[in-house]
Amino acid sequence: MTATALTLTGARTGQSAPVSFEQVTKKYGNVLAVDNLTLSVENGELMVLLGPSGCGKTTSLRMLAGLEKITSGVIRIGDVVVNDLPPRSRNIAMVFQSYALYSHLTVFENLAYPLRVRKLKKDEIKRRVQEVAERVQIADLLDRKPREISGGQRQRVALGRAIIREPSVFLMDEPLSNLDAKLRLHMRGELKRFQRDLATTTIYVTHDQAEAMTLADRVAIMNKGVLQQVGPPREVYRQPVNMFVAGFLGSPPMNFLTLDVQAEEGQLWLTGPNVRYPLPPEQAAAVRQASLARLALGVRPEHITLSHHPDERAIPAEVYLVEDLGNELLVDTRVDGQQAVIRIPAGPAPSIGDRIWLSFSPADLHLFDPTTEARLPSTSPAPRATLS
Amino acid sequence: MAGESRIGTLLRYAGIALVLAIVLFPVYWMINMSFKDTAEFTARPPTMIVKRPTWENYRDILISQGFDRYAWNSLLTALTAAVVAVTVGSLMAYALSRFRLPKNFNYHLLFTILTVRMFPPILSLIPLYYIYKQIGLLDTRFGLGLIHAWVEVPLVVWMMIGFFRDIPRDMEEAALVDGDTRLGVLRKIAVPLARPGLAATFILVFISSWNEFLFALILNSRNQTLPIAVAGQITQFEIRYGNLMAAGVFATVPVLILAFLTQRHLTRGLTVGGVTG
Repeated sequence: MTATALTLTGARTGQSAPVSFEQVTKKYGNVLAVDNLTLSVENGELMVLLGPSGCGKTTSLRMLAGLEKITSGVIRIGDVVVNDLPPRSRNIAMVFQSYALYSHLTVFENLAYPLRVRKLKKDEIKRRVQEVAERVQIADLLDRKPREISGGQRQRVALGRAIIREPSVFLMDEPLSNLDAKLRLHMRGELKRFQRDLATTTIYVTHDQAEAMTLADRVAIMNKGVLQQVGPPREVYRQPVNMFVAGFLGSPPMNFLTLDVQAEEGQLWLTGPNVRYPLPPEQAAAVRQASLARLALGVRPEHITLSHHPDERAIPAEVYLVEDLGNELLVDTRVDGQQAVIRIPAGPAPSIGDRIWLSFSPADLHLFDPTTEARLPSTSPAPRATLS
Repeated sequence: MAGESRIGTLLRYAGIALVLAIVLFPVYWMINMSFKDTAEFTARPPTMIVKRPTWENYRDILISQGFDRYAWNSLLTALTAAVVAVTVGSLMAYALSRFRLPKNFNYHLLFTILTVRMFPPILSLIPLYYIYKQIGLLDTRFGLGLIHAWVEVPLVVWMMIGFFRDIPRDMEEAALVDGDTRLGVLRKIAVPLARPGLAATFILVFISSWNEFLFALILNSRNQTLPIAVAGQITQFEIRYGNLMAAGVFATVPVLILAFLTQRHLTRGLTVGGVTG
């Protein structure tokens, strides 16, 4: 790609650049949309902003694009503070959820738009459009209008329009959410491949945790305008800092059982009406230190094993529902009225109403303070050799 | 309309025909009368279809009275009005649809601009006459066009704001990120997409200026426009019915042609804007 790098009039050349948010806040009237966001994205990295709708992820992206004013804080692209630069001077390219293709222009003109704005020569534009069109496989559609092509093709045009000018940063705002499930999986792979080939800093906004897990170099999880956790997907998945992150990543999400803490016989027990679970010694210290009366115990569905025989070190539950997904089973159970879902390989399924026992390795246990929802300190499971 | 009975269809068309007859009869009558000579004109009962068609009335207004000159005046005035009103009005509408001013000012501005149309034009006539006399715009077609534009700007703003709101914000933001300026986006994205609306408002302003009487009579008596000339057929001593009808036809035809030429935009424009406006 560097062989074809252009010098853009009024902007820097198409060199990827790092991005940083420094204590960025955005208020709409009295509503805090983004609260004191500090996040740096390294050069060439694919950072996914993940969170439920209204969490401030799109607002953050739009502030970076220059489409929203910043209430306070600093945003840098490279070493340039871009707070007051208009979008055109930031050398970014953006793919919108709606694709935002220019509906009155042909595919060719859509791709050519960023180049025409920069007053490139006609044959240069033609050459670059052709090249990018081949790259995103829409070379035979150049004369069509956006309404005459399919959703997947539109997505490719939008992508082509973003890569044609070799920006410093790509911004993607839920670019796959308008595609059907099959095409989404396909384009997800292609996007990842494109990003890797171009090695351009990319910030990708989504509410789909599977997309985040598969695409991201690092993922930043936001909720209610506040950044919760940043890290590589696996790390965030294995060591969520609070119940929100733990519950947001993974499908089905992590199970939480809120239980009482009792000290007896020199041992800590987690208890409920029908539950009496001995807390593994490696976690007990942290719980003692926090001196909590109640505790939220988190286990991922895939980390639970299921037994039909009573076991002192297991938690009794009743089968509420069984969902057969073909390759695996989701067993929905109730523990003292609280929901716990277990994912097991396809095979003999328990029946509804069965009494079963749930057990798990202490390493897969996550403990949270149910009032602050924060992870208890030093209860991080030790990284397992098989995974690291 | 599948499943509708034949009688239903018949009734529907009969209804349409009836309404059309009521609406179009005066137009037909005007055309019919414009070809009659004085004798046939005064015949009782009147002839429904002209018996001895004559170009007499048209010759009279075109050659003796110089209606072509009045038409030229009207055309220049109406073009000025339409160009100015659509330019100014749609710029304002665009700004109001895209930028949020503090303290709900968008709404206040939008409402305030309507007041131009609230007070009777005759109230502003005397001050305007005085001002125009001072600044030398009295008795100019350009000056009259400006006044017509001023009256119509609120209409343009209110119509165009709907069209601009219909244009997806994403599309304009994409263009901004792609490196364009706000004005570039307006010119290359917003205006082409709002073209039906622009065409519709252009024609509405054009027609309204073309038909306007009061300002034209007072502010531009030296370059008479068609409505004044048409009314001129009614004099102190006689009413020249034949000329009146011919003048009416002559004044209507250009607007009809304009409407036909832009019909596609006009119907689309009038419906699209209405939905969200």
